[in-house]
Amino acid sequence: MFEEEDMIPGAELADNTNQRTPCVLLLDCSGSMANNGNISRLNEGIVKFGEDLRDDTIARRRVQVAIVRFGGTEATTASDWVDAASFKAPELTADGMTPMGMAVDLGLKMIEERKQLYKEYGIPYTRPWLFLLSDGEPTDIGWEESAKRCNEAETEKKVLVWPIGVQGANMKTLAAFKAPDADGQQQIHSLEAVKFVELFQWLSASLSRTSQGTIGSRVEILIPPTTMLVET
Amino acid sequence: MKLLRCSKDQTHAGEEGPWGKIVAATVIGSAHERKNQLGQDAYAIGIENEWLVAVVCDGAGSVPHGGDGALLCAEGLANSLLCDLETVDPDQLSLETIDRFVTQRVEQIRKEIKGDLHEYAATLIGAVISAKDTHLFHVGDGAAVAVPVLENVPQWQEVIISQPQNGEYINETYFFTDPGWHDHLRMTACGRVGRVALMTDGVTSFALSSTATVAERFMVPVFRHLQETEADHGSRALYGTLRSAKARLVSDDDKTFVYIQCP
Repeated sequence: MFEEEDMIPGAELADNTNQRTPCVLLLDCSGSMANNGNISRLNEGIVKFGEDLRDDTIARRRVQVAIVRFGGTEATTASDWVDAASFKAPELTADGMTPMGMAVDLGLKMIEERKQLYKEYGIPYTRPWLFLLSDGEPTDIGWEESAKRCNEAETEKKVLVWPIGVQGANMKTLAAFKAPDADGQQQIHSLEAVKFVELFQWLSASLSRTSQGTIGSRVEILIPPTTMLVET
Repeated sequence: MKLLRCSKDQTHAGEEGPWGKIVAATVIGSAHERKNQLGQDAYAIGIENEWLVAVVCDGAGSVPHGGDGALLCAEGLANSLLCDLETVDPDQLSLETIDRFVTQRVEQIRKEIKGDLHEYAATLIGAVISAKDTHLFHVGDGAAVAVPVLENVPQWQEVIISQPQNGEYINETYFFTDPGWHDHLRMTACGRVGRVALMTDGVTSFALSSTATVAERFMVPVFRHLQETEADHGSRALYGTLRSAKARLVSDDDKTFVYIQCP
């Protein structure tokens, strides 16, 4: 057994790594999200997400979060990049159509800008996450091109994409945003509408594990509290 | 030849002799402990005649035999480099010669590994030390630190660091098993230095600063303590420090630290 005296006196064990794990959440705020209280549960989930990240001593310093809402005719930044420690959940409202392609383009742009900033300041970072949640299907013109760009970005390892379809979502169109894995399968997830809080708890826990991920190691990410659909 | 190596039962070691003092410790990270897995770091330190060779390796967690690869590489290199150095005059040793020795021996270890090389992926941090000078060799992350000494006091302002090398993402690095591994072999000639430390990436989080220098608030007390205490006691304290709750909070990775004090 090692006692306290078996330590080197005065050696400060500070975390000097300064690394970041960026994650952008693209959240469907179209009119249909007002049905069955989905938008309220989504807001609840985001609040819980922020609390869990703030409570995690490492993730609160390393994870950075941004939120893009898409609804009506546009995709906008609902919460710009911020350290998890300072994250405040925005209050999202549901309205109009589903401009998912625009949201994905905005999310990819925000990630690239963030990476440039990290590089400029010499901040090491893990692969960014792009989390796409929808209960419908894209309605904007040209979404297919956006899906292709997203797919390519993931193939080139610029980003890790997590498409989550809430009950009623068109899983086929959602799958277009996700690159196939090493086995040629597209992993997308279907969420029971009642499980928003669980989903965001999973997300904060997974981001926490990723942010603590050690170099050269593969972080084990559990499957989200969803049903996994595999496109072949 | 004297060889110190880590094993399941030997997680810290201290030795003193006419060649100086060695203190080493390796700790299994909480990420592996949680899954009841063995650690994947390894170190080996060989001493023969005028030479001391130390090698520290960190097996990749993403492959099935990363720990075996680390052990094969650390022991294989420490042993074989000492054989290569047997006939070399320390006054004549050049960086190019060590580069050639390391390259040949790593290639040999790669050939001797049965099965898929990629499954034995490990980083590599090493030092060849004589009374004349110190040379560092390095593939991947982790770090090596060489510090000149004046009247037994480390001169931190003159520290030489072989820095961690990562890919675009901090959790990507290079391994001796990679096809283009030699492109990532970095050699550093340090001249005569009095202290050398080799460490895996589980330690660099608190041993290096965010501005690519050493974190003096960790390194200075560690070097001072290891210099002032007997090697065996020092190794226990080093082990206890790397195993402490605070160290585990900073990084859940395996942690290995080797300290070499030249006479």
